[in-house]
Parts: sequence; C-alpha cells; structure tokens
Amino acid sequence: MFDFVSRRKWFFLASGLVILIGIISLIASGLNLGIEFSSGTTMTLVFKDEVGEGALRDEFTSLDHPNASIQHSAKDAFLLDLELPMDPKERGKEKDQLAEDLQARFDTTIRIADFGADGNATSPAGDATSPVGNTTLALIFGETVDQSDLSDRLDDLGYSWGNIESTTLDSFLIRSETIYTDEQVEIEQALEEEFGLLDSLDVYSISPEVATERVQYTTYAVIAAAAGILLYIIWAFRKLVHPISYGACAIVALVHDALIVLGIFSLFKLEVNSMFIIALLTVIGYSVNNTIVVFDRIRENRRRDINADFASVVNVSLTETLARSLNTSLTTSFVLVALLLFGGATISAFVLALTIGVIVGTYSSLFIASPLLVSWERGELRRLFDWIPLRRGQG
Amino acid sequence: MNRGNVIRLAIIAVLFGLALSAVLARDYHVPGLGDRGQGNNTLGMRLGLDLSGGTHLVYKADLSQIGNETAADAVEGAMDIIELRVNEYGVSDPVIQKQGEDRISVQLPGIRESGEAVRVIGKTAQLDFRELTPESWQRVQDLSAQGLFPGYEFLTEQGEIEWIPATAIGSKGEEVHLTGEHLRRNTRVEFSRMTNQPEVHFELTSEGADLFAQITRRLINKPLGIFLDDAYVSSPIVRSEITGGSGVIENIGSLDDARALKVLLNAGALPVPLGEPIIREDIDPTLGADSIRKSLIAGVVGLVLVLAFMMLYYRLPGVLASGALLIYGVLVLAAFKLIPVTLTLAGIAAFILSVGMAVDANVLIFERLKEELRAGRTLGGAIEAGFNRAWVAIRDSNISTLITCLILWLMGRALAEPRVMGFALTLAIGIALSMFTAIFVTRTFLRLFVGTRLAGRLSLFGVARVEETSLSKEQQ
Repeated sequence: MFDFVSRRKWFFLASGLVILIGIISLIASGLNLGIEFSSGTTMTLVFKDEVGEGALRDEFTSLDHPNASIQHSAKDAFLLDLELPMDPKERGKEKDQLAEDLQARFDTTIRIADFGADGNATSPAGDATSPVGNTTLALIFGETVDQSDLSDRLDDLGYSWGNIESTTLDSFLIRSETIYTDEQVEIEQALEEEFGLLDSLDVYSISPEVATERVQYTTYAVIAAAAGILLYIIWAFRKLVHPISYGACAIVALVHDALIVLGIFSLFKLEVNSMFIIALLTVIGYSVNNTIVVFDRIRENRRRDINADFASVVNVSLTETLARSLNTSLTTSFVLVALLLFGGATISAFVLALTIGVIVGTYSSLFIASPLLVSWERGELRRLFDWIPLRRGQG
Repeated sequence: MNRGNVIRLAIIAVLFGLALSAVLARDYHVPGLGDRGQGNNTLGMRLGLDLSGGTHLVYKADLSQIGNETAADAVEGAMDIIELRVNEYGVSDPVIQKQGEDRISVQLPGIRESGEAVRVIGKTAQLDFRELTPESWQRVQDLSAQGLFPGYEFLTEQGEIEWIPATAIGSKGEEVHLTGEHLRRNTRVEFSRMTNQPEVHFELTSEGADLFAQITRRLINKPLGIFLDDAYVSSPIVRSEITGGSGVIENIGSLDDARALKVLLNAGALPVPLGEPIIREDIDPTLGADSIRKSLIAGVVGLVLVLAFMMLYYRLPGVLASGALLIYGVLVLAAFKLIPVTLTLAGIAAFILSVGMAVDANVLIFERLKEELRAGRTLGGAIEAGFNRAWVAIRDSNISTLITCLILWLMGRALAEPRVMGFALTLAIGIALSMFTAIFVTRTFLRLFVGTRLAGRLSLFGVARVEETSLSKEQQ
C-alpha cells in the first residue's frame, strides 16, 4: 500500500515550490489579459500590396494610436478576379457562398479579403438595382491548397473567374485601444490612401466600460463559486466531528489547483479570457468533486472504526479510492487530450487549462487535501504557524 | 428476470427510442413545446454565432434625455427599428435582444462586421429640414456678390452660417418642424440623369406635403438645408413651391451611402441615441464549420478511447457502461434539441468533457461492486450494495459541479456572454443525465445477469484477475 500520509511534507513542499514559481510570475509579469478584460480592439488587416511594418506603425502613430501593437505575418493566398454585385447584401451572400463551396472541397478555413471594385462598376444611369463590378478577392486558406485544384473546383462550381494568382500577402494583427466604428472607417480610409487596397478581418472590439464590468462580474463569480462550494462542503460533512477542517482542506486543494493553472498561464503568457475563467471554475468544481469522493470514504471508514489511527484511516481510504480517482481522471483526460490534438486552435488554450486542471485536481485530492487533514488533526498546522518567527516574536 | 427489471428495460427502450427520433428528425412539432429543430446543420440544432459565423454587436442606449417611465418603451422601440433596418438589408434570422436596462444585443448570422449593414444599424437617423437665419442668408449673398462664395457645405462646417429648423403651420394650427417623421416609408435610390450620382427620392405624408409646400413657398431662390443627425447633407436651392410632396436628396456620396440612407429613412429614426457599439465581434463562418468538424473528430476519438478503456478495465460491466454511455449521448443530444440549447463551441467542448466525466459515476459504482464481490457477496447483493454505497459519493461530487454550473450560468447571464451560458447549461445537462444513466440504466443492465450462469464467473467482473496482483491487499 502506497503511503500517502507519511510523505506528506514532501508533497506539500513540491506543490509549494510550483505555486511559488507561479506567484512570482504572477507578481512579476501578471496575466496576459485578453481585450475582453483589458478593453481594446483586435483585427487582422490584409493588404493587397506590399506594406512595411515600420510604415504601418508610423501611420498608426499619426492616426492617434501610438500604442497599437502591430504583428506582421505573411499569408499565402490566391488572388482571384471575379465579377461580384456591388450591393453589399448581394455581395456578402456571394462571398459566403464561395467560402462555403470551397470549404466543402478543401475541408479547411477560408478567409476572403475583399479588396473592393477596381473603380469600373457598371451601373447604368437610373438603374440602381444590380450593378456588378470586377473585384479582386484574396482567398486565404487554413491549409496548403494547390492552385490547379482551386481552379478546377471553381470551374466545377460554375464560377466565371478571370484570373488566379498565387501570392504572399502582408497581413498584420493589430491590437489597440478601443476603436469605434466611425473611427475604424476613418482609419481604413487613411490606410487605403497610404498603402492601397486592404480589408479588415476578425474585428473584435470591447469598450473600457464593458471590460471593467467583465472583470467585476468575473471576480464576483469566482468568489461566489468558492463560497458556494465551501458552504456545500460544510453541509456535506456536517455530521462529522470537525466539518470545518474538511471544508478548509478541500478549499486549500482547490486554491492550490487554481493557483497552479493561473501560474502556468502567467508563466507562458497564455491569453486569459472568459473561456479561461470557465475552465478555471470547472477545474475548481472538478477538484472539489474528486476531494469529496475521497473525504466521503474517510467519513465512512471513520464511522466504521472510531478508534483507528486517523492517519491510517486516511491512507486506507486513499488506497481504496485510488483506482476510481485515477480511472476517472484518465477517462476525462482521454477526451481532453483528444480535444487538444484534434479540436482545433480556437479552443486549445481553453482545453489546455482544463487538462492541467484535471491532472492537478486529481493530484491535489490525493496528495494535498487528504494528507492535510492528518496535519490538521495532529495540530501540525498550528505548530507551523508558531514556527514562523514573526508570530513567535509577537507571542 | 424479475418484473421490475422488465419494466425498467421497457422504460429505457422507450426513452432511447424517443430521444433517437428527436435527434434524427429535422423539423417537428412537440406538443406543449412548439416547433423544434429549425436549425441549420444536419442534426437540426441551433448554432450559436461562434459556430454559424456573423456579427455580434451590443449597443448601450443613452437614456439620459428620457424619463424613467418611458425608458423601457424607448429601448423596445429602438429594437423594433433596428429589426426593420436589419430586415431591409435582408439578413436572415437576426437575433435582437434586450440586455439589462439599457443594452441591445444584435446578432447577425452571416454578415461581416465591415459591411455597410453593420455601420448603419446604430445610427439615430434623425433627418430634418432647416433654413438659414436672415443674417446668414445676407452673408451668403454678400460673399456671392464678391464672387467668393465657397459653397454651403464649407461655410456650414466652418460655422460661418447658421441653420434653424424649417417650420410651418401644421394641421392643428401649431408650428411644426419638418423632419424625417413626415416621410413615407418608400424612399428609393436612383441615379441622377444629370450627374450620374446616386440620390435618394422621397415622398411626404399628407401633413408633410402641406408643410413642405408652405416652406418651399417661403424659401423660393433660397437654400433648404437637409441634415441627418445634425450633420449637413445638402442644401438644394428651392426653384418653386413644391406641392406634390416629393423631393430628392442629393450630394450623398457613394451608392453604398445612398442605400444606407434609404434604409435609415424607411425604418425611421431611433427614439433614443445608441452611440457606438460597446462590443463588436466579427466571426468567420468557415471557422465555425471547421471547428464543428474538428470537435466531431475529437469527440469520436475521445469516446472510442473511453469505451475501450472501460471495456478492457471493467470487462462485462464496462461493456454495459459503454452501452449506457451511448444511450447517454443520445439523451443529451435530444435534450439539446428539445430545450432547445443553442450550440456553441464551448458547449460542444462541455459535451465532450461530460462524456469523460459521465463515466465517473460508473467507475465509482464498479469499484464498489468489485469490493463487494471480493467481500464474498453474490452478484445481486453486490450490485445493490455497490449502488447504494456509491450513491452518496456520486450525489455529493456532482452537486459541487452543479453549483459551479449555476454560478457560471449566472455569470454568463450577467455578462450577456452566450459562450459562458452555453457551457454551463450543457455541462449541467450532461451531469444530470449522466447520474440518470449510471444509476438507472447501468444498474438495470447489470441486473439482467443476476441469477444467470455468467454471474458466477467473477473474472467477467474483473475481480479474480485483480486479486492475483498485489494491488488487492485490501483491509477487510
């Protein structure tokens, strides 16, 4: 039988070290807050012609956004000449249809940057119903696509396209203070005058007011979750001699798990958004879930033999529930790892937070929460506090 | 097989049949719940904006000029007008919702953020007609006499001339300001035969036509200013009194601008200014489709791994639990469709996660079952004891996750964030149904073997084999 209890100080030390590193990172560099919590605007600007990163930076400075972060990424794309309606509604529909048609064939994401008409919109006087114009679209695929495949596909679908050209486009990921709609129109016009045709994709914008509110509500939610779970644990263990000690140890375990996940996200500068908060709260729920199963067994075994040594009751209970603890986290890890490997980039940070949380949550219910109960019962915690020089000096 | 178990099996079969037909049917009517499943993918589920792609906008109404008692009406009125504007642009299935006191959330599936439709939705669009003050008119004439007249637009922007509301005597004898209120909702865009520029043609209501006639009679050979949201648009010179109640707005700019103006005038002005959207989000539709495909692959891989593990580790009970897990999957999908739950990427992740977590209850029970079998109980006794003892742990541990779900859901509602709400709701449904399948379905399946020859072969339950290893030095 593996002895969880007598080696507990080593486990506490290991966890303490990991948490310490995380806390140092949190203090030193904080969290990489997404614009959901820090406010601002992110978008991807795609230019038809070559644009220097420095020139674009200068342009943003002159447009009153000197702090905008600008990240260059060259994107492989196909320039496609196509006749499209000028009416925005019809035009949007045709582009969506094109994206959908191509997705059905190439099984990947397709971004369409619309560089607009080249100025020769055919619009008969007096008739504003259906002018069409020659347009250059940039098709940006998520995976490599062969040009002849693409032209064959367009022919199959019956598009009357003019020319296809493989190219590398200058694309920039912009993150700035909040840019509102009217200002965005101005910025796009200014950039178009300076650098030629462009399109903005994936615009995401949060006003400072909303961001402040989100931070506030999220803080409430985390506090409420911790309080709700604490009350629940105290209720669940109300018939035991020391319900507070069980509740406190479960809370220590969940704080342990939350700190490790936060520390890792801080250390690796992973973005913190509302999806991350979901993951964090789910991890908290999962951690408590695991801890409760073990504590339940401790409760049951203790009732069976009230005179047994508490440390060995805990150890027996951990051993008895070991298979369950490992198997449950294994099956949960199976699906999480599958999501991590195959689920795509959109949710990978979210799934990563969950995976770390599930592993750490299983560890903490075995090696932290339950051994901590023994420490509590033996009064080691009080002695630890007495040992802290500050306290002794005062007492 | 006893009668109770036959009834339970029948209940499971009926539930499974109903759930499966709900999942497979595309569109159908549920008595008491209404029509279900007008979704846009094969299973007929509703897709959230993060999967269908489109634009999400949230506006905050400026209620500072409006009394408390009319505030709610003003916000409702603004929502109606936004709906009219969106419909003019032909967006299918827009979702326009009020959030809290003063917020309006607009979801436009399949529309790009940069599109013209999005830029005009929040405009107040208060059109009004104005005339020059006598002093300003004098200034215009002086400048013209000197040959220095730079145009009305320039003078207006420089603040050198001042416009006042163009009013006339209305039907009730009072002075009325001619505004967009007096337009019929049938304005249209045409190209000018003279300049080939787009212009907006409008017609006035009967009262408006009367006001227009009085104003144009007074302003012959003078400019009539047309303003949109206090911004100068144009100022045609009145040549003669216009009694027919129709007119033209020129100098609008591009065709897109003209179309936008038409939409705004036909839908009417917002009763309350909305300002700029406080949240704007533009989601690529192909990204959503790609995410669904990838999540599906991940879900299948995860499910296969879980099933394989359960069957290899727990043997016969594992096979039964796998059957129960498949029933669980169908039940959850049916619940999603019937409630209905709007499917988001986070929701799909929650569903897949719940598959991994759903076996937890089974694992708890089977571990107990093994212990009871090792303690020498018969299969029947071990099943009942195992379920009864595991129940407390299952209940306690799931309640803690349900508390988290409740708090997440409340947080999602406060944030008006469908992703958070979707995740919480999906996970909660998953947990509730997983308890049901573990307690009811798996137990019923296991009972089938009580009293059969198989019940005596403990290796089928993973017991004999485990006892040979050192892991099983149990304290009795």
